[in-house]
Amino acid sequence: MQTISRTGTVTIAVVAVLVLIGGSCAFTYNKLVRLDQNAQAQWAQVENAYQRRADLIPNLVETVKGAAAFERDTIIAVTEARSRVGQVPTGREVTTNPEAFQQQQQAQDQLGGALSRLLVVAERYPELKATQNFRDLQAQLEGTENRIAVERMRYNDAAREFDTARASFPTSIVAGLFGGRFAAKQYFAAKPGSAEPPKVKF
Amino acid sequence: MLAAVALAAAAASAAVPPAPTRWVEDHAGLLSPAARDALDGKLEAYGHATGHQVVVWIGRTLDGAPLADWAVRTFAAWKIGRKGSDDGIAIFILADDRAIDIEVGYGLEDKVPDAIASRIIREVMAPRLRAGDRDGAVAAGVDAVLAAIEGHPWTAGASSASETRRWEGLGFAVLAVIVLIVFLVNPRLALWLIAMTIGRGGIGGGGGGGGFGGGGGRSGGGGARGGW
Repeated sequence: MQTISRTGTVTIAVVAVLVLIGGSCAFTYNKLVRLDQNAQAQWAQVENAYQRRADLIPNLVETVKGAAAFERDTIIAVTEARSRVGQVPTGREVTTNPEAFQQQQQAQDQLGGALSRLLVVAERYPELKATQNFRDLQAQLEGTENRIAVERMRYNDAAREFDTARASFPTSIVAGLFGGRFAAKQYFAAKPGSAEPPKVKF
Repeated sequence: MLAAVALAAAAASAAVPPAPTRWVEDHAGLLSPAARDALDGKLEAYGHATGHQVVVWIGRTLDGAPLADWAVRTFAAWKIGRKGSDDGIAIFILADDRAIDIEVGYGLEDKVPDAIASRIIREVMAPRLRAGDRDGAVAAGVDAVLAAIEGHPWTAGASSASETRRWEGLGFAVLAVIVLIVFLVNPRLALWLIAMTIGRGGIGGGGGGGGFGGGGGRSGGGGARGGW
């Protein structure tokens, strides 16, 4: 009689422990999913902001071409940078693939640089600066650059939260069980020399 | 020129000021007290009537820290606008830096896009500030922002004091219609209602008790920056 009840107790204890572990795993898995979804949603915001910038460019190019036809090189640089941006990979996979992420960041930064140069050049044409259309475009481009910076920063925060949770113990065990599903996310690196923002004069 | 907002935490990041308790806060003495209170009342009435939160905050300087970055962090900390609708706008003015930054919440980006915010700064506020008309500049800027949200036309020269009166007028008109209907149904009830309303000193104004409290709204960095 005594032996049977002890086996019974042990069995119950083992089952209880298994249920606890299972429940804890499910809890951790859900947490990882939540953080992952958050980072993905924030990534979608970043790509929205990029798209917004790309959409402004045709209008800008037309406006500048009219008044500053001699600046062909700068205009062409912008158009080329924009088409390159259309060719690099986008979407969910970019956040976990270092190469794809790097490519996209580079392409977008190049576009940003080309736009910057175009606006600097446009400053030299008073008739262009005076047009309402150009001023509106300039305001929209500045707003978009600001949005890109804000969404990138928020993505970095979300990615860091996910990566930290994923790497810490014991969550890392659950993450490891599911292999590629919870791969580490890439971050935006600050551009060299970007710690000192250029003074913008109006 | 495209402003490059630093991604790495800049060594000189200006601190976020404490959340405002009024709709208009002037820490630089830019506005006269009368103008500030009038504006505060108008924005409070607007907030109660429509739910959109438009806030004006005037400071002195950021000591060289990047304006857009500070404005975005401040808006995020104060959570202007209602949660879910994200319908908040903050007008930041830095008197010593001579800088203006209008931050627009996600929900109002279609009504007040960057181009319009930029025009309000450049065409409505900056000229008046350069001419020394500080009260007029801020009042006109606020009027232009409210007009843009409501979809009314606004021009650089216009400054309407009739906005607040319209909201209160609407409130009274609605009340009058309700009382009329009740009167037709039950005259005594209508008279009782009128007595209650007059006794409480009017409904349209809202009693002046409420201060400002952030509603949980968010912004994505939309808006415009400028100076004078």
